[in-house]
Amino acid sequence: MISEGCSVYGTVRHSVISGGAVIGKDAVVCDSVIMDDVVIEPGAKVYYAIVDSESVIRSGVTVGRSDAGKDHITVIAKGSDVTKNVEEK
Amino acid sequence: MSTTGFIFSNLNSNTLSLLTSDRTVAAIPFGCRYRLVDFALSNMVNSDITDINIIANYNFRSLVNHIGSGKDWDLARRSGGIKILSPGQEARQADAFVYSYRLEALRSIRDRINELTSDTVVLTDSDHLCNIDLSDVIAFHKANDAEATFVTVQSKIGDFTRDPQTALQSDAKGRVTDIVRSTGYDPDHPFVSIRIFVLSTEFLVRSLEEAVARNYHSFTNDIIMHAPERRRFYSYCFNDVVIPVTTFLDYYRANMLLTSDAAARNAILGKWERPIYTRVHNSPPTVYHDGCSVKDSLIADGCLIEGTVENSVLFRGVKVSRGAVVKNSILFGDTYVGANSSLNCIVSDKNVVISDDQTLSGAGSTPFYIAKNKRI
Repeated sequence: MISEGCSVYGTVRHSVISGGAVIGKDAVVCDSVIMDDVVIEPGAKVYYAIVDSESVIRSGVTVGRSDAGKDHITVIAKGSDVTKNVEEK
Repeated sequence: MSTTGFIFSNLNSNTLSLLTSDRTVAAIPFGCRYRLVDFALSNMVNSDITDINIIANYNFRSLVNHIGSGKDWDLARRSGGIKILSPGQEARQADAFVYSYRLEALRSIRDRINELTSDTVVLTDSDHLCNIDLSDVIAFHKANDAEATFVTVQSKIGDFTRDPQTALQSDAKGRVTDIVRSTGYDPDHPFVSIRIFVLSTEFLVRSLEEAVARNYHSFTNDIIMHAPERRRFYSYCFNDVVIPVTTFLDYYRANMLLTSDAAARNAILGKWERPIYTRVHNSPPTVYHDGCSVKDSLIADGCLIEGTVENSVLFRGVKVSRGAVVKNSILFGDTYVGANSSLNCIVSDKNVVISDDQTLSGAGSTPFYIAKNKRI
């Protein structure tokens, strides 16, 4: 599901994207919930995560793991600036 | 002192006849969630013009529904706000010719015009889409003590229009020295009017009196082009993106431009400090099912996408079934595309149903239009 005002330049699978989010070129968002006004920079990857409003996932960073499954959700707090790979253990 | 706005909603119905069989030009849907009038309205509201009249003389039901109380443009107000004016029978008699319509419509509402307390009037059509700061044009108009200021763009070699446009020649300060009608680039008259005019109310009232006294028929021929060197007319050259939507092909290309040209899209829709407002519908977000593929498209809320969509503009509530392929197309609200059907260069009006396994194709220069409620 993708809400109004989103710009998607990358790949989105099985996710809910809230209003005003920007998914950059070659970015990947799978199995995740992205809140309002989040920016996922080009080349970033987000798997099995909840990214709270106004966060930025920087270029090339990976959040979560593609095989994490729904019992291992990575949560990114509101307004975060994620510059390094993050994973829920 | 304040400014009053007038928006003409019906002009150019002839060249946009496919889309205006039961709606005004102003109410033509655009860009997956807008209607053409939203640009004129938002430009006015963003420039603090909140006393606005829309002139519509037929087929204006969808325009009335779209405008409602004016709340979505912050125009539901006690003083000023938005009114839809239907000029009297006089306007219908001269309906074939675009420019006669403008003057006849103004003449028939001249009581309203004579009552205006604002010192400046902005007249605009609905068919040139741009994001313009009208207060800048008004300041230019007043600084020059102008009677009329035309908002213009510079025409380029290679420009060609089927219908003649108003082309101006002006001096270094922007004072208009000559006005002609032209169908293309004219190096002596390089400024083309985009049909947004700022007039001093006094000049408008005076011109309408003269129009009645001398039985004028055409705003352009009789008032504008009549001895411009004796008038205080000015040309305000607007340098940002202007998208004309005067023919069906223009309309198709304008929507396709939004999907392919981010710079043009941002220039008219992406200015956050001067947004284009439109009527808000409460629809749920669009759902993209597994196996769908979407590229280079503008998709509104409430859609259900199970198939492939490329380079297209989808309005609210469109359903694209599994296996269906939609390319280079504009699908108005609630269009249904059946399983495995294929659409290319199609403009489908509201509520169209395309059943399974259909193949429909227009061409880029001749898109195929499907009328409202049709079932294929």
